[in-house]
Amino acid sequence: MRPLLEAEILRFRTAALAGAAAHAAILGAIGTFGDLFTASGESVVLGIVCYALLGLLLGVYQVGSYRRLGAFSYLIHRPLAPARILLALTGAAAVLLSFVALLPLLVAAVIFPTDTRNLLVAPLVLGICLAFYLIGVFLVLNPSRARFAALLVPGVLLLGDVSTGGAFLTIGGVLLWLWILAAAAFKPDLSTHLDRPLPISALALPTQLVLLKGLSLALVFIYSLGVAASEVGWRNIPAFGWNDHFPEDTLHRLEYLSGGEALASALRRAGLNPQFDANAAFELSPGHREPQRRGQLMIHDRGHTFNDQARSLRFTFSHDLMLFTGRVRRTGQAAGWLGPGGYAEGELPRIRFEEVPEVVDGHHLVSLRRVYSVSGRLAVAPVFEAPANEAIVAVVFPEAGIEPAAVLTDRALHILAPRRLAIPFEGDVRNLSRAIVAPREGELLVLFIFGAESDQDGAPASQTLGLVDRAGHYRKVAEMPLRQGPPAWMRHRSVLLAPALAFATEAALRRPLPNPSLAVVLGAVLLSLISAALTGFVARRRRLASGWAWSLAALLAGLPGFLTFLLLTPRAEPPRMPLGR
Amino acid sequence: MNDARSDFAIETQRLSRFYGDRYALRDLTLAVPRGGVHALVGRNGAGKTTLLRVLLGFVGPSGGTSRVLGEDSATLSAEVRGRIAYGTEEHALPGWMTVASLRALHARTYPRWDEGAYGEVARRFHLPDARRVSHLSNGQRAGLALALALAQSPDILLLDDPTLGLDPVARQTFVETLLFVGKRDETTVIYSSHDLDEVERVADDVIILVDGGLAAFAPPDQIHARISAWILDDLPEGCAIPGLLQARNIEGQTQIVVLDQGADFGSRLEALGARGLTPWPLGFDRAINAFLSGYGTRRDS
Repeated sequence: MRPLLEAEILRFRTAALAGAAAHAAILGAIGTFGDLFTASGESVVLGIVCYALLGLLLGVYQVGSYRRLGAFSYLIHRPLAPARILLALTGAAAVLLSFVALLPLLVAAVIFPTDTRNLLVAPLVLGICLAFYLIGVFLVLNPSRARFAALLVPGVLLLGDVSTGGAFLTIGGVLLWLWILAAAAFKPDLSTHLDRPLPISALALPTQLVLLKGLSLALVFIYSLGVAASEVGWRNIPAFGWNDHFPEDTLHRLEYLSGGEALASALRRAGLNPQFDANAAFELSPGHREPQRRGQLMIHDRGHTFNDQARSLRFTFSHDLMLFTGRVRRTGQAAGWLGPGGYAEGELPRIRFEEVPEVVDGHHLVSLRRVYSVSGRLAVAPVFEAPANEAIVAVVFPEAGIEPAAVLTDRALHILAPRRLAIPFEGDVRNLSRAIVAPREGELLVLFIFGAESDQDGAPASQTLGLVDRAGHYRKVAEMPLRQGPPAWMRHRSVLLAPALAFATEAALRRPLPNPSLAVVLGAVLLSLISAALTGFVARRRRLASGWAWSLAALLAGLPGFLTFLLLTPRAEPPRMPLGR
Repeated sequence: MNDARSDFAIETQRLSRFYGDRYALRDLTLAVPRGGVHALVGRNGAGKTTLLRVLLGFVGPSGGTSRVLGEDSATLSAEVRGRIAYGTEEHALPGWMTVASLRALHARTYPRWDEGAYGEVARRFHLPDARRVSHLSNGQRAGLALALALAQSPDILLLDDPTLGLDPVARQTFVETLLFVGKRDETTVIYSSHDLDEVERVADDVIILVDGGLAAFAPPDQIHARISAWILDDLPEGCAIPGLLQARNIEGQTQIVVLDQGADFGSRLEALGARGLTPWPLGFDRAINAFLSGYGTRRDS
């Protein structure tokens, strides 16, 4: 194994040297003229794409070159088990990618001062490169039409917003998953499909998820086309204005209306005077983003830099210090710190931030429970602090630099001006679509619209209208359920198409489980039974011994299960003549 | 050791392999003894390459079994793989390596590496150590592939049309090397070829495949002896010639090639009304060609 590993490293040594030099030059340029480890989200995604492509290209080229030259038999026919040959190739790839991707990143982390947490970026980048390397190997070797589903494996496991430790576990799981696929494809007979249960399952799951998503989108398209045609006729579909045709009192219609229009609609529905000061109305939408945590991966960083135009300073938040560290923009020279006590030079401030803040509108810092304002003289003052059991999910600023008007936490709406007031709301903040506030003759109208997660019917869709009187007392005026626009089978299309997959996906994403009607359940059962029967029938015709397992999978995964079976299984090669003579 | 129980290097039982609707091997039963050079002969598509690929486990059989050195070829162990050397007509070797680095890689990979055997073959083909494989001539690449294969000290050497596309000198060198180095080590050599002169010179046995099935397996002279050619002036209308492989009209006379007809064939044909019957000397290559062209037709009819 070792001779092959060394030979493969030597094979790419020149390219690896050139790649490492280019990578180091790029990192050096970014670090010199910008801030390497506080790149924007788009830059981070671009970087991940580049590293993924690097791994993918190496996998496709390295193993593909053996296959392309008809030399795969040369590679695989040696006194080594195929898995050990693949291990040698992967080991060589790991060494090369470490040299090209990991080493320059580690050097950059040492040269350009940054948080300790950013040293973890380098091994994660290596993990991403290796994951896509294994995908490349699998794409080159597997003859299945569904082999590109392997590209989705990292996505399937990266659905959740993971912490730093979780990221390493995730990338480890991804690598193990992809290794199972690549090792199963790395065999002497490249014309045969995967034939063992574990790799088949490892490829079938992402294939089923993609097919479920595709079928679901196709249903939406067909349904939308049908609605449009029934309203205006087939010929006028291009001129169809979709938002005008949502029925009244449906969540979808409210989502298309502006805040003022939605509030007026709610007032009319509650039988109240729909007059109010629409110009002064504002709304808050929860971002539904995970709060920033100390030591998180840089990919989750939001608003980590603060610019002081007057002094030409740039502050970057340090998770090690829990302070903003300042540098002169032109020279990069260290220039003090910015903490809860304001700007400080010379001695490191003792008072630090307790939570990781996010710079908002260039004048405010918003953390999990606190809002600070930063003045032109770099004085930092607390503006709002949420109760201990609440977490801020949105803040509204009437204009840049003006004090915030309201703060939305996961339990209450806090009005800050003209007087402070907390309006608790019932229900899960994840299901909250919008909170709309508008003044009317010294009073405040407040509308909460729920239903952000009601598409799966696990959460209710409703609107709650309230009033804050002149004395500052809040009372609920009306609570009105909202109708769902599309029919039940459309809203529960995922359950209908693939019941087990739909429930498993929602559970994996920690969202409310679907609660479909009896008709949808019966439809889903019927469709699953038909899918399982069709799978069994085709498997029998193809003389597949694993037909029963595929039928069971189709029973759980419905129509996507059947289509996956068609894509992943080979057509049988029955003998065309009796073998005996 | 599994192979200790078997006297045969290779055994197949009713081996079949289909590619979709088409069969490449059909009900092939074969037992190749250890040692010697065995030539695999057949027309294009007769199943020679498929047989070699099945034996190496590169493709699985559709039916039947095949065993190499006592092991099922579909699940060859790494140890047995190391005892089988394989060469293709493309002499596919990693073009990015130099001759020396490739030799070093193989020397560290194969536990029974024979530096002397490598050196001997390398000298015959004038292999330059520092040159990249991709920069070698076709003949040198074939020589390098043979040198690497023989230096493994394999128990079995499988070669798939290794002299295809080589110039006469390179071909001659290749065959001589195979004869003098391959035979010396008592390796079982199975090599497919379309060059029947070369087969006659090199092979101890000839395995003839027709339409994926085994048509003959014997020493070249024995197969040659089964095939005879005759020239005759006249043959009565509708007369069925027994064992006929091939019939041609040349300047008013009919030349026929027949299989397994013995010494009394002339008298039997005269009894059927044939006149002017004369035996005709037939070379090995033309005899095998007639066999290959007529055997399938004769069997089917």
